[in-house]
Amino acid sequence: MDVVQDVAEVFATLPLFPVFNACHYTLMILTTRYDTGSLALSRSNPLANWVASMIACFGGYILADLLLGHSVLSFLAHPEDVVLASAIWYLLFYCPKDLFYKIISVLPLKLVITALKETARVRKLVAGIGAAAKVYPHSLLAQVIVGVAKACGNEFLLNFEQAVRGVWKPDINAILQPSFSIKACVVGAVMIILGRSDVLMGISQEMVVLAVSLWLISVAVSMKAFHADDPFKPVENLFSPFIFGSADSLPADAHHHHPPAPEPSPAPKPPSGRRRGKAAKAD
Amino acid sequence: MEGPDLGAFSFGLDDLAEAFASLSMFPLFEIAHYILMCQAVRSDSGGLTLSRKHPLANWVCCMLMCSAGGFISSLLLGLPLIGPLSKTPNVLLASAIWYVVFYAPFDIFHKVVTFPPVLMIVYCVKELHRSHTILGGVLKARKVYSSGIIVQICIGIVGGAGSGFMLNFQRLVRGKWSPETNQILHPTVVLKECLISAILFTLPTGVLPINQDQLLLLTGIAMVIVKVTLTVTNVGDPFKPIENVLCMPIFGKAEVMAAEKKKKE
Repeated sequence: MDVVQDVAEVFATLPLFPVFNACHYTLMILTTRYDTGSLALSRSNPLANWVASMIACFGGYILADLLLGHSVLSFLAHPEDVVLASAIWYLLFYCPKDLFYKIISVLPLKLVITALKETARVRKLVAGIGAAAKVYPHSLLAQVIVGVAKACGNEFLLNFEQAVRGVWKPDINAILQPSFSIKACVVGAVMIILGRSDVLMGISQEMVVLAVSLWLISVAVSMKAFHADDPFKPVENLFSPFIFGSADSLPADAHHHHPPAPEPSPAPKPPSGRRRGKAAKAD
Repeated sequence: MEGPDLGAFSFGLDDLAEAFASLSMFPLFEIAHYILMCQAVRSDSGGLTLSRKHPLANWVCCMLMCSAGGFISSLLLGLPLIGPLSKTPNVLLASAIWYVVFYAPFDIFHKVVTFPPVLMIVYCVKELHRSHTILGGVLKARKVYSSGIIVQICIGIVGGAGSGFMLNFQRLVRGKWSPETNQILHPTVVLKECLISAILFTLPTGVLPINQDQLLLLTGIAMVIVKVTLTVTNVGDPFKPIENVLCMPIFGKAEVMAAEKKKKE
């Protein structure tokens, strides 16, 4: 147990710069590169491309600062991070013969980079929760939201990053379709907050962080390696019709031109056999 | 001896004004407010489909609308944006109302609340709540900018009519961006009421013959009367006749309209 505790303490205090941050920036700028029109933009408007990439890299910091009322540009106060991100941006978009992109696209290397990036994500989650706990020590929701914002902020800012690039696609955003990392960060945030308070007896905060990191790393790497789907989806599909009603049983005023519909199929109070049958049919 | 128009306040109404001013908005007034905000999200196009397909986005939209005044005033005053969500009892109450409005069995809550007598009571309670939030906004701004009258008026308006401003952003969360209409382009009656109330609240203490508590009661009653009248009768915006009369000389409306008519002919 002591060995695990020591490992957890070392893990929790590893410096994020430069390796972990570099992996984070690489994957974020790679996401920007894969987005439609990015490569063309990199040749025609490199400034817009750079700003969009910086928003993607530092989205977590920007969003968390906005939520906590700090200066939104405070990430620029760490010039070493901005220089590292800019260097990776340059290499990813403008390397001769696209060498850098080809090197990091090799699957084993990409999996290692993903693992390191997820470590950085959990560290940011912890940092976000700590920052919110200073201002709102009694509000679980505020701490979870700020933690998730810091860890996955770039996904929430995607629409605005695309707007910088001249693309406006409001139909898709991270709240309408939360990715696996957002859902995992919510679960991780709750666990970390429980670890900070003394609810989990015997398990220290660092061990909780280590456990959450290992879980996130393993799922993220296996999702990338085997092109697996979001592991939360089957659970959601099972419980969502119970709690939130199914999409084909809207109440009477959903479509105003229809006559008053019969009572909606019993969403929250189903006879359990019937609900299982319906779920089986959906599969 | 007080003047005749203040005679009413010299017996009983003083106590009523004080009691109204010290009344806690939680939970009853907040319940009325949350019900109307969740109903607004529900009746916005695609609201019910959203509630079934994207419950998280639905919850976020409702939370944004329920604490719209808090979010916008925090943004404008440089306070933490997460502030309104840190008040756990309010968030829990709003979430409970959200769940019941959208997912009650047989849709019973929606049917009860949209029954006209019940709806009228909810409207009246909400208007009383609105006067409190306008004053709350003015006082919040006064803490940050003690002599900034215009800031206090703006934050007072935002406190009372914040949900109108938040409508566009709530739609953006849902994936629809409709910038063609907003409260600044097409001000509603509520916005104009809040403007007048906010100006009255920011006036220095000696100007009006009544104190802040009595003014709070008066604005609450006035807003209830306006809301009930507008709901029951088919009168349009009561400010429109005044605007039409004033806008023509001040903003040259008639000349522009005449010039455009000539161009068309």
